[in-house]
Amino acid sequence: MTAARALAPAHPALAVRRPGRGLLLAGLAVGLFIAMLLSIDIGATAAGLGDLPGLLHSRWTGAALDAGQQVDWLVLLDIRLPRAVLGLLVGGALGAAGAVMQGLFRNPLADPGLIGVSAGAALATALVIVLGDGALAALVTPLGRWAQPLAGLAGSFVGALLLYGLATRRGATSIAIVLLGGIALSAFAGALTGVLVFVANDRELRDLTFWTLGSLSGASWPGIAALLPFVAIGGLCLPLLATTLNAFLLGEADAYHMGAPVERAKRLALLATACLVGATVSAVGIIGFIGVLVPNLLRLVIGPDHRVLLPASAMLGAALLLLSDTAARTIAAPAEMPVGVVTALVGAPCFFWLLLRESRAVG
Amino acid sequence: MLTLEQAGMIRGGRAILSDIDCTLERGAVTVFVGPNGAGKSTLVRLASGELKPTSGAVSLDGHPLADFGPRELAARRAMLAQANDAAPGFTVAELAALGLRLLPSPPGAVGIAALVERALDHVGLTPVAGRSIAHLSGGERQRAHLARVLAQLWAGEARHGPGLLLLDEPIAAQDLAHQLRLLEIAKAHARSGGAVGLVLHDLNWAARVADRIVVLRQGQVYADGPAATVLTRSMLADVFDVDLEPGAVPPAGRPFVLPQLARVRAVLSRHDEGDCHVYRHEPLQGAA
Repeated sequence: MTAARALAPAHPALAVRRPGRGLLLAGLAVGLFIAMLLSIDIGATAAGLGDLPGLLHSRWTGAALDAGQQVDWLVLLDIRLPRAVLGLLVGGALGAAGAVMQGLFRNPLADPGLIGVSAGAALATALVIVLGDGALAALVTPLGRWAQPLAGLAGSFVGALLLYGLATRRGATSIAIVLLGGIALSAFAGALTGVLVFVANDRELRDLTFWTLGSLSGASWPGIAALLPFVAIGGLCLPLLATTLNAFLLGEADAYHMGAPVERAKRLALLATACLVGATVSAVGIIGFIGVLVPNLLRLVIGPDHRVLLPASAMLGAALLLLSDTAARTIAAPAEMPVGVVTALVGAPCFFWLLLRESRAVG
Repeated sequence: MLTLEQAGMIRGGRAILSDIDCTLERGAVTVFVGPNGAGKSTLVRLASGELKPTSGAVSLDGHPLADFGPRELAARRAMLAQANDAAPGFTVAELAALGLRLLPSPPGAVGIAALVERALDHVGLTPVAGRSIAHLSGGERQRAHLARVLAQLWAGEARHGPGLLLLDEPIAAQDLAHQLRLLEIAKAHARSGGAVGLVLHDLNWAARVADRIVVLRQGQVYADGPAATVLTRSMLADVFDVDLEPGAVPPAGRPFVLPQLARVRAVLSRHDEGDCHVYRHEPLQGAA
């Protein structure tokens, strides 16, 4: 580091990394930690972080918890903490997946929710929920609790692959076709999901509705355990992809000339997004706008370098989802708004603003 | 260094290139000329490995091109494509560094900074190093991409010796001084032992810079040799459908400028900020 500084170019503009990136990442990490604490602290019951030291002390010393303390313990460690962890995983996955998709399609508007990848995952998950003990029982039953995330993964992978194949000719991806194809795919998957709703029985319908609203309220430790491997696989792909996605910004041909393993990188990027989006959609339903908003806001500040953009998107996505979820369950407490409603309410105007900026920049 | 043997390319049922036999030698600048659609760009893209020939073979230093992974290849050859995207958001220096991080053994931060500084100096973009690519003119943007290509080439050179430099119409968007400057960079690379393949439209520049000119017509090699033997009246008629005698001088009162005789003066470049930057200028060899 000191050697690098000593030999730093005389002209400050020659810097090939922007200063302040480490600071930004550290700031995001702190913000995420605070969002996490807030979402554990705030809720429909009075229990909060302030009760935790007392509770832990009682547990440590083996003193019996009174009835109120037992409820607080349950609320904090079996309801709010798993919910915060789920929000962390899902928000991080959505933010990072959005950044990867935008890099892969070379367009800032690509978003798993907009281009039908989430819809594919939703359809596949709905299939498992409704037909899991009927027509698809032979396939679903042996997979147990893995069935839903695996179905989500398969659905989003097929969706992404379909769009990519449709829109890419000779190494050039047409974003118009991606977006239009995404609309068609979303509509088709939505219609099929509607058919499933039609044939579902009462219990299945309850599961389905609960989940299509896009909510973190189903958070549980076993559910998190089923989600974790997929988010981990997707997350582990990210560092491998960062430099290649930077090269992709120049187009596939230039990326190849610079040494990017183009086909392998595309497959890896599709796998990563399918893991991240598919697993999260199967766990919490479709939560929009995190994937498109977060990377775009960050690009305005830190530029397009994916080595910073990917981790920053994951952190900001997680923080944003945690705050949205905290708002969603406190605004009308004890009733709960679906968090997807909150992210859409905040996200859609921001998205408009980004589009306006873009059209001004072009015009 | 790079050899195409009976290389052919069929796309959409049409033969874009057929029976191409051609070698890009170390120490030489090979220039590809030909009318639009003759297959020049396809040929350099075959040479770069971006496209695979549908028939015949392409080999680099005796090994089939397909045996090299993209990273290994990137350490041995660098290519500037005809169309270059804006890559929104990157600064000029960041763009120039982009090709260095995917190499099999990427240089460290210090090495990257040094390579970028040298490359930007060569293409004359040091004064705008910190500016966003989106705010450059078309010609400057093309030179920024050339800086990226040069940095990659030099990074590979440290390990594998001088590599193969492929440039597809590198001077199309450049003013006269920069045309000269860029082609001198290509020549200097050949003199240092590398191989250079250039696609040019301007036959005068081709004549000035080429050790060998390969004339393409309808996907085939029409002629291959030094400028003096290739640039003939019959070639111009057969390939370019133009009746013109090479070396003929227009009548008095019709001025003409020939790049063959151009030399760059010590350059003072002014930029928008209002202050003057002088960029270093290595003495250039005179007319070839």
